[in-house]
Amino acid sequence: MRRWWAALLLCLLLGGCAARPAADTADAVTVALDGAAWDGAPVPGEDALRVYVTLDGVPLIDLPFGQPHTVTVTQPDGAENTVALTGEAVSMAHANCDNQDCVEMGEVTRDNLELRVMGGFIICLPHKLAVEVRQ
Amino acid sequence: MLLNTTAQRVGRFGLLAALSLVLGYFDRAIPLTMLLSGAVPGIKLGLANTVLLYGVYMLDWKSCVALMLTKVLLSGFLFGSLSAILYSLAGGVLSLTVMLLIRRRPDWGALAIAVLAALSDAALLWRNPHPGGQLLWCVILIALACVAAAAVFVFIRRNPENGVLGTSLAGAVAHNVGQMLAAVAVLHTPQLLYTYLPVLVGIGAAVGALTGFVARRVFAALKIRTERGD
Repeated sequence: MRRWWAALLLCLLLGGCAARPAADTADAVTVALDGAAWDGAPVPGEDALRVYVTLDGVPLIDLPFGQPHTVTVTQPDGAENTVALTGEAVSMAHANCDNQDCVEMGEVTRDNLELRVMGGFIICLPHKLAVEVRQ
Repeated sequence: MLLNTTAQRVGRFGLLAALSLVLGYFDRAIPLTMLLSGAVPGIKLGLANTVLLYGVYMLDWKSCVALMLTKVLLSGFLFGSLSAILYSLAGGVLSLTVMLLIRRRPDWGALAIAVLAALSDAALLWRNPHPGGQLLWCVILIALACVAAAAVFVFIRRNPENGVLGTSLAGAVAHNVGQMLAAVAVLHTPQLLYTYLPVLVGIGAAVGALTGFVARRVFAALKIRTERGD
């Protein structure tokens, strides 16, 4: 009986490891800014608020809040998220994840930053992508 | 109602696993996420937890663990993804542990949840003393959940047969906390803990009270006594 429990635990551990991607996937991730591949240069523009995009805790790109931009993050497994900045608001415009929670989370504006339940966060949990608006 | 032969136990286990899968499907079908226009992602009614509540009072702890694992793995493979299994497993393990520990003293569970809900409400108000919009609704909802948990404490003290309500409350909140911790570990965003955790605790208390009432009716119909000592 004890052996079965140990086997089950092992299966779970293996499953958990399989569910996690390799640690250095951030290299294979492509970031597109306004439709073209982003070269890694800082996005120009000054704003008290900035938008930080992180994947699995690794910072990918950060932009000033007050300018219209579109950021598309594509991961090696086909996971794709499009973050839209209109100048007044930030939202997840599109995601090919299975639950669409991030798209339904709505937009972050200067006015609702303190009133949203999630604060300045928009999170796509299946893709491990976090968008945060902060100073 | 003691079931001793292996066939009876296997039959009952299969029935419970199937029931929890079907209820888990209903959980997904009821769009509770639409509450507050998608502001609170990832919340559901937790009807499947009523099956586990039955298990906590009627089965030994090993069967409970097996039931929880069966439910999490099967519903993950059927309706969800591998990452979804990880989150529900974190929630399930913590919730089952708390429920098994608290089942003899559910009144303490209800009291702890009432205090936790009050603290989360205070944390939300401290973060923003003049809530509006989504946050205002959450503050109201959590205050109601706090009152409900306090009422459950009184109910259990008056009549020990209401014990399942307290166990349900504690289990629902623990489930949310476990999932939250898994999400924070994956995303590496500890800031979420102080913005979103209070909301999840409050909503867990509200939802746990609801499923607790469902389980209470089921237990009454099945004539299951929650204060039995063995």
